[in-house]
Amino acid sequence: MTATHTHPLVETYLNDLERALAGATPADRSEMLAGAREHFADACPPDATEKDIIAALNAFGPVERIAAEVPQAPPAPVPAGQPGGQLTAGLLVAIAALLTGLVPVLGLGISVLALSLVKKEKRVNPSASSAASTIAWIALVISSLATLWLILVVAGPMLFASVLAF
Amino acid sequence: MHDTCYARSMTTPSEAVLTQLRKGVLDYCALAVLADGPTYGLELANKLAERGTLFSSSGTLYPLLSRLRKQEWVETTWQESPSGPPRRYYQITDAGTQALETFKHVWNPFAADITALLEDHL
Repeated sequence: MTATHTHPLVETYLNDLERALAGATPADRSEMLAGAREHFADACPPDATEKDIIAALNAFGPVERIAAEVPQAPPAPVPAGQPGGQLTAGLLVAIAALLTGLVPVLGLGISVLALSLVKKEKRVNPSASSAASTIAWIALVISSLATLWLILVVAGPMLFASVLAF
Repeated sequence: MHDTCYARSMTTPSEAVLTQLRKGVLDYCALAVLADGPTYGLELANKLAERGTLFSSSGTLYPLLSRLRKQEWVETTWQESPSGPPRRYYQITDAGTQALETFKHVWNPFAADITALLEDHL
């Protein structure tokens, strides 16, 4: 940028404009600011009075109106940590599903843990965690049935015996 | 401290209608001015502002020029200025000239139809 004098009012306006352009891409923002700076370099010569400068700023228009004409940057990609988080939840779901047949109570616990992880992920990335959510629910149902079966096997004969004794 | 009381936004009903009408038209008005020869930002803004209704904020001209540049209807060059730093000049391209010609062919019957329709229903 050429080192020319810039009136404090123009500088304030350019700072306001830069803030209003926060949602634009860096390329669009710098092009707009460069255009505005060049415009004021021509519109506000060194001998311009404060009245002239205010008139030039008014003619240029409100920063919000200008910023509304500059395209918005596309939404930021999913933060870098997310794929790792999904992998952890997916892995836990797989372990939960695997364990349901072997150790029913542990499988139930891990299914619940996997579900809570998927729920957390859903707030950030709803589409990516829907498959993990389905698997976690299936695992929860299977492990619940397995746990119920275990309870019946262990507690059933005792219950039967106590009924007979009564 | 300076009182930053510049540029208050005021939207009247006429201004709201004009804002809508300018969309899609002002790009070609800028091209029409540039068809006379390379022009720098303030000069282009002043020429467009000579017609009272074309824009209310000259600042909106720069996003428009950026759009035209991306469409390759306009290109920029730097030229020495007799006063102050070098200036960025906006120049119409062949594609821009072609787009302007197409607009001219469409605009006249379009404007005539609207004028005639409004007269018929007044």
